This record gives sequence, C-alpha cells and structure tokens, in this order.
Amino acid sequence: MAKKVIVRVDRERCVGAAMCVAVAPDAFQIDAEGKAVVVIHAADEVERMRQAAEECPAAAVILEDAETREQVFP
Amino acid sequence: MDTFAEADAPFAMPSLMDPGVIEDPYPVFDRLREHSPVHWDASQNAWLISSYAAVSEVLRQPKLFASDRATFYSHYLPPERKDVYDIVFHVYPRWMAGNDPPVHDHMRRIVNTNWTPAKIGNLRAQVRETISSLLDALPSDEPIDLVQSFAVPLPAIIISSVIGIPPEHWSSIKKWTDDWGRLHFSPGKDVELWDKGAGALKEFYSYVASRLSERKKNAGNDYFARAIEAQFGGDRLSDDEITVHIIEQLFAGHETTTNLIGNGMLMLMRNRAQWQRLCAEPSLAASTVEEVLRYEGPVKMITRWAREDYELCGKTIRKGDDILLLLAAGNRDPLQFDDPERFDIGRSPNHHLTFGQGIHFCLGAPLARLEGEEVFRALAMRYPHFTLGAGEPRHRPIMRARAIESLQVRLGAPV
Repeated sequence: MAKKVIVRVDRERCVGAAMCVAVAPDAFQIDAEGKAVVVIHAADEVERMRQAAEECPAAAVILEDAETREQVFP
Repeated sequence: MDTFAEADAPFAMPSLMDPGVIEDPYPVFDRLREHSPVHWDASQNAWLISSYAAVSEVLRQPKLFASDRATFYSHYLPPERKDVYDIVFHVYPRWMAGNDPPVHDHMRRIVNTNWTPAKIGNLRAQVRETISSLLDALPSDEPIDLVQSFAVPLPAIIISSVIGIPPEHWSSIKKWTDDWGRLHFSPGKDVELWDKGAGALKEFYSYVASRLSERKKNAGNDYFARAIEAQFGGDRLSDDEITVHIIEQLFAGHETTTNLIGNGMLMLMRNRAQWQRLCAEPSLAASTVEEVLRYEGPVKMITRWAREDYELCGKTIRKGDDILLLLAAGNRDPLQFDDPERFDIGRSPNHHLTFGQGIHFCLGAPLARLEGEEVFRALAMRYPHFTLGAGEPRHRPIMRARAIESLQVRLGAPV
C-alpha cells in the first residue's frame, strides 16, 4: 500500500452524499454546489483516506499513490 | 402562439393522477418545467418542482428542506386511532429516509459501509447466477410476462439473500410491504388505510425483531449479524434501529428494481436501434442502466417540506409547505441534458436525479446498478431476438412510481 496518497474528488460523479466528510471532516468539505472538495494536498493517513474513498456511494473519491501517481482506488 | 409564454400567465396543471398523465407524464412535466418550474399545485397542496437546478438546490439543503416524516404524518392520523397506531410513530423516528441530521446521519454512517460499490460488487457472481437460473426456467418461444416471471422475482431473491431472509418468507414480506406502502406513500385520513397499513407494519416489525433476537443468541454471517456489529466512531445501532433499518431495506429493495427492469426492456424494445447497439456491444449495459434511470426512472417524485420560508426561482415557499420534487421532469431538463428526449444508451455524462442527491442519496444504488447491468447484459447476450408481445403496457395509477403492471414479451431463440 502507498505511504502517501493524493486525494481528489471527481466532481462530475460526486452526488454530495458527504460520507467522505463523515469519515474525514478534516480532509473533505461540501461546497456551495453541494459537492465535496478536498482541503488537504496529500495524506499519509492512507487507511483513513481509503475508508473515505470506499464509503463514497458514487465512487467519486480517487486516490493516487503520491510517488508513482498511479491510481490506487477505485 | 404559445399562451403560456408570459411569466405570470396562469398555468393549468392537470392532476398528477389523470390517466393521460399516468400513461405519459412527460409532456406535462416539460410544460411545467418550461413555464413554472416552481409551481404551487392546490390539488396536491404542495409545490411541484420540475427543473434540474431547482430540484438540486432543494436536495443539497437538508437543514432547510426536511425529510422528517413522523411530524408530517401526524397531521394525517385519524384522531380516533391515535393510540392504536403506536407502531407507526415508533418506526418513523428510525426510518432513515424519513429523518434529518443528526438522526439520519447517525444511522447512515453506521450502515453505509455494507452498501458501498466495492462491497456490493462482491455479489456480481451471485446476481449473474440468479439471473441465469430464472431465465433457464422461462420458455423462449412463447409469450411470457417479463414483469411477473422475471422482474419481480429477481430483486426479491437478491434482497432476501443479502439480508438473510429464507425464500419461503418472502410472500409475507411482499404483503407487508404492499400494505404498508399504500399508507406510507399516500397518507390520508382513511381509517381502513391506517388499519391495514399499521397492522402490516406491526407484523413486519415483530417478524424482523424476532429474527434479530435469534441472531443475537446464535452467531451468524448474514446482514443481521453485520448490522449488530456495525459501528462508526464507536457508535452502534440500537435493536430498534436495526429492526427498522432492515424493514426499510426490505421495503426499498425490490419494487424499484423491478421497475428498472420492466421500464428498461420496454424502452429498449421501443428504441430497437438502441437494443441492437446493446446486443452488439454488451459492455454498454452499465450506461444503459443510467439512461433507463434518466429516461424512464422507477421513481417519478420524492418529497420534502420546508422548515423555513425560502425564495426559489422567484417564488416564495412558506415554512411548513410540502414539496414534490419531480425527478422525472428534471431528468429531461435541456439545461442539464443535451437532446433530453433522445434515449441514448451511451449517453455521457448522465447525472440523472433518480437516486436523488445529497445525504439521502440512495443507499441501494450500487445494488440496483449491479442488478440492472447484469440483467440488460444477460438479456442482450442471450436473447437478441427479444420482442414485445401484443398490447400496450399500462402504467400503474400511482403518483410516485413509474411502473408497468405487466410486459408481454417473447424471449426468442437463444444464442
């Protein structure tokens, strides 16, 4: 598993369910359009970011390995 | 000349239960959306909201636009029955779709992990096998009713298996959900409606509660066990919350999917070029599901009520007003979708409203998507000569759901 991940939200897919915010309110917020935005650049709490990504019902939270830039989730 | 062109020209809205509107609501939805996207309907005693943007604006503000049902339904309770219907007012405070934060969030956060796309994806092989065995039992060269013989049993078998209900108990579950559903979706002051609905809910509750209590005594590996163990930040569900949650999933988990299948096959048959496209490229099955959900989604409308006065599209919604969000109208909004009247199984992007938006986004969406994808793929790969039988399918006279009673088809020679 990656040591550090870059987290981003696919705003097209995002439906504003806010499960990511529930898991990691320090990393995600819901904006005025009702969609999630990421408020940190890279995360070393990989397990927690992975949980946030897994909980998304729209699979809109994308994780990339910070070093290789390969997508690790979904 | 279009007499509805002026902003404050009166718009004559037919009843949502008018037989013509039931058969084909879209022309009325289109006119409504063009001329009065936030429209007070006196006969419904509610605002009808039909543009994509306005529906979205409501759905993303759960603090202003409430889902709370217990309060809402208490207005309809026949006063002479207040104490008899305890069960209804015991269930609603725990009904996820009928609650607002913080109650809603507490429940959703705990259960969500079992319904994610990844977890639900583990069911793919089982869904495929279930589809295969249902199809194996159907004659390919005679007319059959696709709804009764396939679209009804498939989601019932899957949700029973997912939750952990023995197949022989399904007919009771179906009866309870039907009787309860009539009250849940169309509350009135009709005492018979309340008697039947509350009676069904009481039996349903009893049944689920006793299975839960059994599972607590004897360890198991079903959804009951997972609901018992589930936690979020140290919070768990109470027995009452688990019981209502399971009732809610059993209630929600079948009719909508049945209608996805029925409406979908009807659309594919009416747009035969799209069917042929799917047969040639079965990998389009997933995006076919999205286009069916957009174009003929199983849910025409959902409800909210306003906690505060609110200005929307130049209209003033008053505190306490009921709101009907016409998802099926928003799904054909040209401001959101290019050429919205075109049924295009490859449409992308396709961010339809049918699963909702915001915190109440359908918990079962990954399961509905999985079942729909596997069904359309299996039918296209196995029965490309699929045809509709004689007769026009009739739509059920019900406001919320877009449903056909039956669909006469011939599967055709399998390949």
